[in-house]
Amino acid sequence: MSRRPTRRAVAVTGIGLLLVLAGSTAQAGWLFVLAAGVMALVGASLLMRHRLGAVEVERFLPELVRAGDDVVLRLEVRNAGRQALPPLRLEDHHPAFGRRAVLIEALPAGARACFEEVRPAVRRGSYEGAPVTLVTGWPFGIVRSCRTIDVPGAIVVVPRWVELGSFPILEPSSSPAEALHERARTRAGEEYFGVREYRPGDPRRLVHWRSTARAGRLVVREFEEHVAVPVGLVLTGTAVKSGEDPAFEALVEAAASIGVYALSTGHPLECVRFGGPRLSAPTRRALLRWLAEAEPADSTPAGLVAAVLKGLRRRGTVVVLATDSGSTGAGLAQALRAVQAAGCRAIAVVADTSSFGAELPITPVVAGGRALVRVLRAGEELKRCLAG
Amino acid sequence: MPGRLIEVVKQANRTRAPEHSILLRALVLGAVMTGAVALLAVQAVPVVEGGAALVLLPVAYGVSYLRRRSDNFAIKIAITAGALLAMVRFFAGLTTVGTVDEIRFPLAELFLWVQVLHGFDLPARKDLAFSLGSSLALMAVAGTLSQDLGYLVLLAVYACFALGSLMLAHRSELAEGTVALVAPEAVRRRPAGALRAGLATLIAASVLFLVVPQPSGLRTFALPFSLGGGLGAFGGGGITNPGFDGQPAARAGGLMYYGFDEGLDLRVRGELPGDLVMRVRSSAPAMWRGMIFDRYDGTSWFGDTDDARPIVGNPANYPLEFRDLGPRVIVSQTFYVEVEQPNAIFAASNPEQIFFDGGLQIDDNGALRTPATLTPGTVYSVISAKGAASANELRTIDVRGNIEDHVVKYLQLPRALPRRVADLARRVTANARTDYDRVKAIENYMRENYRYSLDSPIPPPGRDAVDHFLFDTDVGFCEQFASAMVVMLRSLGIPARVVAGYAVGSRNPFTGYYDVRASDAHAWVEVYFPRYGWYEFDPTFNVPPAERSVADLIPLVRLVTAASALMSGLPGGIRGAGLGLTAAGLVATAAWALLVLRERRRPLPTAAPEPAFAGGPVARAFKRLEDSLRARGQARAPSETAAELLARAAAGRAGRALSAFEQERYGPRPPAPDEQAAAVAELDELSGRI
Repeated sequence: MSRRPTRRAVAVTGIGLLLVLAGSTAQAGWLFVLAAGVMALVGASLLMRHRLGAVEVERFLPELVRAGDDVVLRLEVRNAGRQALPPLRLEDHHPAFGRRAVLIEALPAGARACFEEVRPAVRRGSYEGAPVTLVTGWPFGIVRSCRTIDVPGAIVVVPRWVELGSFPILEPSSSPAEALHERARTRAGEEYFGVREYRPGDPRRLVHWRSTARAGRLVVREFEEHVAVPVGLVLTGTAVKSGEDPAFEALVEAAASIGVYALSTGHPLECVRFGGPRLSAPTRRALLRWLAEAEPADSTPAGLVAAVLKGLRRRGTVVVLATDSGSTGAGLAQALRAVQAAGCRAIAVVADTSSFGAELPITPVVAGGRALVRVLRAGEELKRCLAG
Repeated sequence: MPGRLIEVVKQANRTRAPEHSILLRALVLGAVMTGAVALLAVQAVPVVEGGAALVLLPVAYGVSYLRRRSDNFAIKIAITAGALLAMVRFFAGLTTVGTVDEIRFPLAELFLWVQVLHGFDLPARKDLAFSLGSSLALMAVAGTLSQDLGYLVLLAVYACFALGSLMLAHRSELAEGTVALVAPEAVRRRPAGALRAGLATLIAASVLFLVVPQPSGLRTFALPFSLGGGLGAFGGGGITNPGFDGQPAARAGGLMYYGFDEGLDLRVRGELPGDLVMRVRSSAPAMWRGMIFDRYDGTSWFGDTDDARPIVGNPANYPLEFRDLGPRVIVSQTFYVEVEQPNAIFAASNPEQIFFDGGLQIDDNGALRTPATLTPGTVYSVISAKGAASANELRTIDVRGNIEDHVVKYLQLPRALPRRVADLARRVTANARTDYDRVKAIENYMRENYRYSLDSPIPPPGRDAVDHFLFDTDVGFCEQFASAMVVMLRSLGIPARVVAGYAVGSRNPFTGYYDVRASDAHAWVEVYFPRYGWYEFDPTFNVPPAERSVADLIPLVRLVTAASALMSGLPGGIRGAGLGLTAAGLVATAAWALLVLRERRRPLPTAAPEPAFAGGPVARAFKRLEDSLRARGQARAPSETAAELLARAAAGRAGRALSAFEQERYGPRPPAPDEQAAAVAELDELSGRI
């Protein structure tokens, strides 16, 4: 906690001394009274204790939200001390929501004040908590106290995704309905496993109408996978060194959309990214959490591709998500060739960094052989970009 | 190009963060108006102008509140024109002032009009802060002119407004950029915080006032003087005392000391009232000398009876023949006459420059006279060079061996003076080795062996008044003490004279003036030291030292000294009073401790309050509109949508506000800043209209 006089203290003291000087010159006693009154503003400010150490702050947040969705954020401030607290400014620096400030009126001893707000989660990520800064200069703003408290408030902000109608994971196309036909055709079918509640993205033909009628809500059949084509997701980095990179965020949203689509169409996933653990056969929730923690890094994707190929045992489809700049862009063509060399289907999802405003050297993406390229551009609808 | 320049100026003057608090504006207005009233109270501005300012100030603040969101470019131009006019008026006013000191009056008018003009354009908090700071200048100007404690009332009112403004301004500063105000609704709110802050400020101000030294700066120019109202009684070449009819051997009546005359009759008795006769603003305390007496005839002292000669110039310089060398301390004084005074200039000894407008005369003893008596309202200033030689320096002077021609007359004694007076003087000074020690020995002898009483016996006819006092009554007052000392010194061959005037008076710590009362009239002694000049001695009281110590500049020291003097007169003396004060302090501490304990034992409230209202600026403006409607009994129904509410309240004219509100409340992104500002303005205007 810091407590220090502000520049106003210097100004007020200066005015006081000026009045003393004027009082001495004019031999006017009232000016000494005025000077004492003015300088007393500093004196009283130094005497008044702000007791910010007695403030307890709690933050209440949902566990998991999607980026851009509205979240009810609740802050509770309690005066745990035995003396009243002056009016203070509370600044919440939670990175998921941006910086917000509220004014808390004088809190008597033991009293609590609550603040609730619906705010959109603006930044993807996994957060344990965030600092809250309390500021006051009561009564005159001459001596300012400041205390920063780390307030727990765990929240995972998963990336936004779009429900894809199709994505060429399987030849010739793999819309959820067509995937079933494909499985039947290739005898890479499944065994009936049971029923479960409908989840967004489930094909309508899987709805088990009899169970739905009984339960009063949508219920779908579930099949146990035996030989479904696995899908590898390789999320590479960005050449942007600091701050949030919109191109990388677009890649993460694309990865989430493709991953959700793959899971909804029954494809087991194998996911790799820089700086994070490899994710094998995740659920949708696990996938989104894993993507929430994705951090950008500029590195060649060759190592990641090798790792995913190992997990896929050299079959299935590998989707490499990369920007067209930096080491990532430079190594993309080679990574795609490696995928194809391994006998897997290669798909590249490339973020066009120039359209996102980055001024970086761009490596033109040349799809080698049968690799499929989808380009993400700022301002264009993700669904349309991925559909090609 | 000019258009672009205007645009740049407009941009620079754009209002960025308007202040919405009406209470803050009202408190700042209160502070400024108190400053204006203070100027009126001390007559620093004409009544018409002050009254006009008091009427215009609320109008100006009202306009600036209503136009707080606007750039007010036209108003700014009008203010600039008004300020230029005020400056022209100020410079025109300068041509009418008589002294540099009087510049304060046109300056006070200028300050006041600048405040009024600035009041029309106070959109933001910093503008209000500037206004509050400027109001301090008004109070300071009034403070330099105020001579009584009436100013304290205005100061207290001003302090309330100013402290309230500062607190609200800081609260507004804390609230800047916040999205909500969170209040602990479950607990009863008390203004204890503000009161505590006010109390702490009052205590700090009291302590600072007591401990901050109050030095006196030099003022060798720009000293005020004026003749005041009315014409006094003509002096006719001598001294005219408007408060004494000149009848000796009778008890003096009226308000004026009978010693302010051409003679000082030692047979007159009388007690003077405590009425205020003049206020003196002085850089140091001093005895205010008016009369100088050189001849003693056994019952009375007489000054120079010849016609006084004029001295010219303003400021008039004291003639060189009356000046001396030696260490000096400059004392600048301004006298504000409250009750008609004799036609004499009262001043600290050894005046050098006299600022007086009605003509000056000087007699052969160096006493200053005016052609007519000093009427109430007369102001004059004097710069004196008080002798400041130390006792050791004066001890080196052989007074009796260096008698100069011009001081021979100060050795005069009546032929009939009994011999025992001189014998007593020799006996008292037998052990003194220097002339200075002889003077001090006689001074101390008088103090230690004679009693002070205003009601001492009158000497019978034919008796020498000094002899009667020294050997018969042993009781007397300042005239007897001073006369006896002078006569004894003269009998030893030391030039001395009796002087009369006023003692220093009581210094009002708030106004800084010495309040001189009729009862402060006094007679004391001046002794001549070759090369060093006349030095004051007082066998009755103490002569204030020429140089003040640093401790004397600190009000607390003066307060303790005065309290000690007061307590020494109580039963039990200082020790008893000290014990009483200690006991009172202990009781107060115990009471405070009990209060603190009681506060700590109070159970803490645990109820969680309702969450505060949350939302963006447009939603908050919408909430204000709802509150306004509720206050009018048109509360929003639970089922009423925002669109329906606005249709009802604004007859569908708040489409932009509705769109911004819906976008902020339900849209993925908040509205653009300009749309947001426009919507807030629209909603607030609607609230204001309701």
